[in-house]
Amino acid sequence: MFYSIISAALLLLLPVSPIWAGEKEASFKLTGPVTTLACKMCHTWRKPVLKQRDLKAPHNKIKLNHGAGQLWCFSCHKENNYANLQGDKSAVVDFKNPQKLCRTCHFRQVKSWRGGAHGKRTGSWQGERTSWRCTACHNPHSPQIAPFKPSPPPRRPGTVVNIDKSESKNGG
Amino acid sequence: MSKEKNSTKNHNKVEFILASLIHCFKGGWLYWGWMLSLIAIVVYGAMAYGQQARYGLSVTGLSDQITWGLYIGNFTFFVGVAAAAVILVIPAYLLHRNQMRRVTILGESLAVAAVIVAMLFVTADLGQPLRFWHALPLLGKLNFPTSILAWDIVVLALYLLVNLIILWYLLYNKFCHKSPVVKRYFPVIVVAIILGLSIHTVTAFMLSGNPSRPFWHTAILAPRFIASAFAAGAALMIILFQILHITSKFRLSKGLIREIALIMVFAQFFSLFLLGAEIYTAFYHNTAHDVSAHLLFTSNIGHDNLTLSIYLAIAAGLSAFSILMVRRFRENVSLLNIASILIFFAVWSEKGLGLVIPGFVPTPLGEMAQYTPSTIEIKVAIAIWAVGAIIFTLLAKVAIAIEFGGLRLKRPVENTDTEI
Amino acid sequence: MVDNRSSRRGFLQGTVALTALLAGGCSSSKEQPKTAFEDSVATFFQDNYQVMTKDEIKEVLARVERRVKREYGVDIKCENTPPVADVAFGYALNLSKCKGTRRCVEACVSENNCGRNHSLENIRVLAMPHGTMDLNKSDHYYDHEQVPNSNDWYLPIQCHQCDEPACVQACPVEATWKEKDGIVVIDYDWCIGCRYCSVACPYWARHFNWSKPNLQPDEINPKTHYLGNRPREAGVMEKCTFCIQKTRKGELPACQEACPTGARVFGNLLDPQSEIRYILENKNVFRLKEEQGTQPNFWYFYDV
Repeated sequence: MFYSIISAALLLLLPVSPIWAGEKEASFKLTGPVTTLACKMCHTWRKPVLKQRDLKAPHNKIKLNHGAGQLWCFSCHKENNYANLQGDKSAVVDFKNPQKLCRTCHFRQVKSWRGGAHGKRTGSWQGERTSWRCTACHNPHSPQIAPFKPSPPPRRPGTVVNIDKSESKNGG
Repeated sequence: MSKEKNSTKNHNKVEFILASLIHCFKGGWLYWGWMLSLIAIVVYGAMAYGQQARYGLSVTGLSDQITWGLYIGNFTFFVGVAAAAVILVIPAYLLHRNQMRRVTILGESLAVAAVIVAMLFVTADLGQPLRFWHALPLLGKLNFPTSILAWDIVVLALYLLVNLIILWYLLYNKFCHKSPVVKRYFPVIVVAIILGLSIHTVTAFMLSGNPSRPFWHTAILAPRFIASAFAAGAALMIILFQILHITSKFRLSKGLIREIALIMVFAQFFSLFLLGAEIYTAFYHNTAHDVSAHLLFTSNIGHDNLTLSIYLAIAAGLSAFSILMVRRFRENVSLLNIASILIFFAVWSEKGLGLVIPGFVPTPLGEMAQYTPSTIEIKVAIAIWAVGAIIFTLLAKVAIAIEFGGLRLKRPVENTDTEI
Repeated sequence: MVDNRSSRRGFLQGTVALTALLAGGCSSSKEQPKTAFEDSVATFFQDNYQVMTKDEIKEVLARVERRVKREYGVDIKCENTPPVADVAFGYALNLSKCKGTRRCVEACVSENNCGRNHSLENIRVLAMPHGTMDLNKSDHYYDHEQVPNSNDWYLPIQCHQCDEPACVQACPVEATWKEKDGIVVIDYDWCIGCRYCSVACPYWARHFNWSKPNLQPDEINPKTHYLGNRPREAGVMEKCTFCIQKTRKGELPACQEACPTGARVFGNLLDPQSEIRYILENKNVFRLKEEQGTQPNFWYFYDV
């Protein structure tokens, strides 16, 4: 309990720093917030639980819903290198280039994304391409995009809407 | 010498126009009652059009889904009437039927009135009617020959012009105590007949040239238009001639009415046959191509009024045809009148409304929309009909006065040259 | 042709001068601000955009800005940015990714100064029941609490900027045409409002201003293009222009920017490195209603 309170308090002080980095990967630029946590603040003196379990404070904000229960923190983060990402079968990967880790499973999506068929380009259609990185749209801990409330439907012809004070309608 | 001759001619022309105009103001209480009520309708409709001009076409029942309705439906119908009025005189020249030749002038008058009505209906349908000059040659930028609508503008304008020339030639010569020379005006009549076929064919092409609207995208549309136009035109003429027979010096012979009735039988037969062919193609298989027809005939989406009117139209057309087929019935004036009225309304609702509106349902994106004309739209449409009635009344009044009455140039003309 | 043009111009200018004279005879000094009447007379006699000279266009653009200032009290910039050389725009839409959020529609309306409350929207998103491609089974007015709805897939449709556009063929007065970069545009000041183009279009991509667009001054996007999003009048057609005011300056269209699922890919078909070219070369793409023969520049694809 004590440790929990201490670490929760520490967590509030931690520099949670979104970095809008534009590092180059392959042939185009990436953009989108990169959130890194200073895991070492606690985990230098407190050993992480390597076994899969229900996440408690200070990690309870993380809703892990990735890989249908097959994945665990240490599938992508490694105890000895919190500053980077690393999968079980991947090389050490920079937080700014998450696709290098994602592609271990989602190789089709990453291939599409490289080509431009997945994700999206931003800024300009011409000149050097800048695209959002994987983690800009997908929360890595719960990558499925949540459902949306749709914008309102078009008006059916014949529905009279008062436009200012002028007698006016569209359709009938 | 020639200068003098020219000045006499010009003087004659001025007198012709003046005499015609003055004659328009001569008439009994029936004439004035008729004209004044038409003018009242026109004024009433013009006020409705004022609303449309002010607030835009939003005051109509039209929408992006059903973008053409009452106006274009009536346009299509009146182009048919205009075409038929002249085409009907073909037999007069091919078969040397002199009775028919005598009514050429009335056919021309009807054609002029119907073309003007058709043009007014298109103008009423425009979002920016003042920009009509964009379609004028040299001034505007007419998309000819690519756009079929541009073709329609061209042939309608030419048709109006040619018919006015013929009317002028026939009436002016008669007015000047000269008899029109057939050799001179016959070629122009041939041009008018070709243009008459063209205006209705082009109007059909305007609809059938849209692959995205499968209901219209059929080669049978143009022949169907011509056939039904013949039937409706003949029906209208039978009724109009009888009215003129009662109200004016125009005399209708039994032979003439029988000839027109015969044309009507053939036209109505082809019209029904082509409609049957359409219905077969639409219903033998259930393809996406025929959804509009299915909706029209089965009223699946609350197209009730249209469905009702198409069935009434078919019933009217069939019963009129059965009356006309029997010679004894055909030659009975009251039965012929009933058949004529039935055919006129059958064609109006089948071609005017039952053809244009269902073409828009479903929309190219599969939307099932509905359309009911607004009051303003109906008022404007009735007013345009009234304008047509006024134009025909005036033209026919002058034409009959010159052709059958004794409206002539006061002084005898010395030279016998028929040149105008 | 040249003679025709010059005679027409001569006639028009004569008429304009005459009308201005009749209108009050005070048009002699050029310094005076133009009145609404003078402007509308000038707009009435304005030539087709395709044949106007640079000076005439400059005047016309200033007139558009004055009109919007007068009617809405908003200062807009109306430009006529020309097509970028060696560019042909194309669009690809990933049907696996589209979740029917209609964010594209919303963004399109506000970017393009479309009238609010008019249902004048240049993109339609169709909810299609699973297992069919029959557009007649589509629902245009779906309003579920959440999308995607489990029974539907979604098919957004807008102008396909065809290479053989049926609408351009139909227009009786050449008020609409295809630009060099592939965008089919309308000269709103030349359109007569006959709506034949919307009858001809297989994609229902052309929409009519049945009345004056209902636009509040604070809703107006001041960055406009003459052939694109400048506020329209009543009685003229309008359509999607791939956000000509943005894309000709290198920006992406508003619908692409707004899409929350990255279903939309926009780019230059002539650039072999572009994403749209990657999609055309590597995905199973199809075009809607290709059998209509209009050669659309809009492709749909699925993630495979």
